[in-house]
Amino acid sequence: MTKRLMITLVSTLVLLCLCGMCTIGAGEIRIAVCAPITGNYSQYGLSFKNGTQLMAKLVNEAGGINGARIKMEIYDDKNEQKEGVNIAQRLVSDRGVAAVIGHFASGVCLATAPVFQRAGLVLISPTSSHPDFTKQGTYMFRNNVKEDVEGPCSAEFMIKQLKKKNIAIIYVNNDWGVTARDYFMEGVKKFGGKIVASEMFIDGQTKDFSPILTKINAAKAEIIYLAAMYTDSGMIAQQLNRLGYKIDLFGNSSIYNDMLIQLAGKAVEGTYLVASYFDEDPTPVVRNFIANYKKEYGVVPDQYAALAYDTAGLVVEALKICGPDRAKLRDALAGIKDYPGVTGNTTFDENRDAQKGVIILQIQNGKFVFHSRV
Amino acid sequence: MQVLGGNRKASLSSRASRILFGILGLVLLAVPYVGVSSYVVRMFTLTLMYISLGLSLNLLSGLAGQVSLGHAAFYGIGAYTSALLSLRLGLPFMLTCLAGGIMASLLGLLLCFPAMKLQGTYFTFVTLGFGEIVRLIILNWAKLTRGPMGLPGIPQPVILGIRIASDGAYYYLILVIAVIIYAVVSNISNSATGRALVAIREDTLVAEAMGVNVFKYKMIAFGLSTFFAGIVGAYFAHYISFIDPSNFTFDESSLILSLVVLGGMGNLKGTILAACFLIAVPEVMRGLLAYRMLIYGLILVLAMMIRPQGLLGSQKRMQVS
Repeated sequence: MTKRLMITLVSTLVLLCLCGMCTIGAGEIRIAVCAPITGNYSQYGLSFKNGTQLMAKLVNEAGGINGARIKMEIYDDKNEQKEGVNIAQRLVSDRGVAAVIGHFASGVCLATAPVFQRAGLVLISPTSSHPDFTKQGTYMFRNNVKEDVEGPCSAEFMIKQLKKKNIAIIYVNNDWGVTARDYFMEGVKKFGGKIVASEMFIDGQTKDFSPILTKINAAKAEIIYLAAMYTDSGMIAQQLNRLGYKIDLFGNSSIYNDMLIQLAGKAVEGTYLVASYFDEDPTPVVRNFIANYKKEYGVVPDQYAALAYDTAGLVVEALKICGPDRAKLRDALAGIKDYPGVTGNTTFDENRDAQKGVIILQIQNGKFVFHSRV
Repeated sequence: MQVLGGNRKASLSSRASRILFGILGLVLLAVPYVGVSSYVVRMFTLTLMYISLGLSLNLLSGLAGQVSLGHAAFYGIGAYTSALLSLRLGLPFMLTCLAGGIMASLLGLLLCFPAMKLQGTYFTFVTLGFGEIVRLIILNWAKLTRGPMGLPGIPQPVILGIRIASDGAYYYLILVIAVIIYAVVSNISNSATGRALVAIREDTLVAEAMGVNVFKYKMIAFGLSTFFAGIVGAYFAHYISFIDPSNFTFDESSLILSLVVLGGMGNLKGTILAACFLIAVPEVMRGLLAYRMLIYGLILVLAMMIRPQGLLGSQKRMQVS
């Protein structure tokens, strides 16, 4: 019984392994997209998938890149480092892959970066914010505004425009939250503000923010800077409202999601936030993108879908210049100037970090509205 | 006559299994040389890593019956100890790896004192809590561990002047570690110590009445099991070169425990089979995306329904106290 079971199991496994290895297409340019399709962050993975595939569809409908069709291949990294490196190893061994778009979290990017760098395969992340990520090697790119732009811009706006001096921070204790906090604090120092409290919470565990909020209120803060995802920010806003403290909220671009307003309703009214993409932006690029996305998936794209869409667009732009050659693609990508994306005009600086403008939004009457451009 | 027949059968099957083991050994040695991609070598490396973790937990949970849901904590302590020692002090890998094991073992023994008196589920809860505490300490002691920023750039190990850099070299290193752990654990399970541990697992009171020093043997099981977990953790840190607290969560502990349970409590070959299965299956099904974890779960549930004692577990059903 045991022996037969073992033989069956082993032979099934071997067969499955063989099947897994023969998935090679032909006559098209393949781009891999690594995103959390399952797990805690699957909503962002879905945006990655939709955004990149929409770009591929539009490019193919317009005749492809010099006649070649492009194909986005989705890989599930579960937002885990080990899974990410597994995929990375697989992709670098597969010579048909021209470039890799991916990893939602910086932690995963940092783990896979050495693998991609060694193999000379471009990894471009639509969302990684860790300052060390693009320092890992010349093949690492990021297509989001780093916290070193967002943080000081937010601080300047608070101090210069809103005339707030006493500022508190609530940040999530992960690599992104800590980075956002550090750059924001630098900005505050530069523009003459004062940090009266800096409080952290643990991702997915802290549900009761009242001790943090009480402490912030006791420190006489006038405004709170939130370096947290929209789900946590919604809870913070509601609990602040319930406690009856009159403290303004200012959010990072991470809270730009309609779910925030659905979750927190009146409690987030008047909240300011920075963003690089705004879905009611009247410019034709954005209007086209939103119309296409809605037609394809039936929902309004969030900023992650927009970033993924632009990232795919950047890769396509580079492929048009050089074709599917890994090393040439890197050079072409690094040389891109003022790519007109839906998240602003994008240029890569010498560290391969995207440079683009940011805007300030405000929540008014249960809607995000444009406030000003910084 | 019957007895004789049985003996001959046993010796035949032991010879067959020896040949099988020989072939398996040769195959394992040849893996990096048969022209497979570095991706396949990595899958073998990861599988061996989980085999090592599973075997180390098998000593504690399978043989001694102390079900632990905090094994990732010791694995994490080993990883962080070794990474910090080599990053901050520049010590060589042999030393940091050993230190990782010893550190994990020391903290394991420290936990063992209060946890010793607890039985069954209560013990499991304590290990679960300990696992969370370790993760939170790693996350929040930012001065030492850089907290959520993780530790990037952990250097490649240098052993006796040889730099471990290629996929093949990493593979051989974990192969050596896995073989050592297998040898130690299988020797223990066939020794008086192993018998004592099984006795403790089956009935602690009876074992104590029969003169088994429960305290001593539990300490041995706990100390060795966590030592090996620490060693594997150290290996992992230098292999992946970037670690952060998200590697050492409860999910990881439960994965290691499922290797032991799926393979059959106390059965070493079962653990190996289960590790091959649980690491390979999600990889092979990568193309199925979101359905992958669904099918993975289904396979686990079916496996436990068809063979509640584990793939290679003995027919006797485990008693849950």
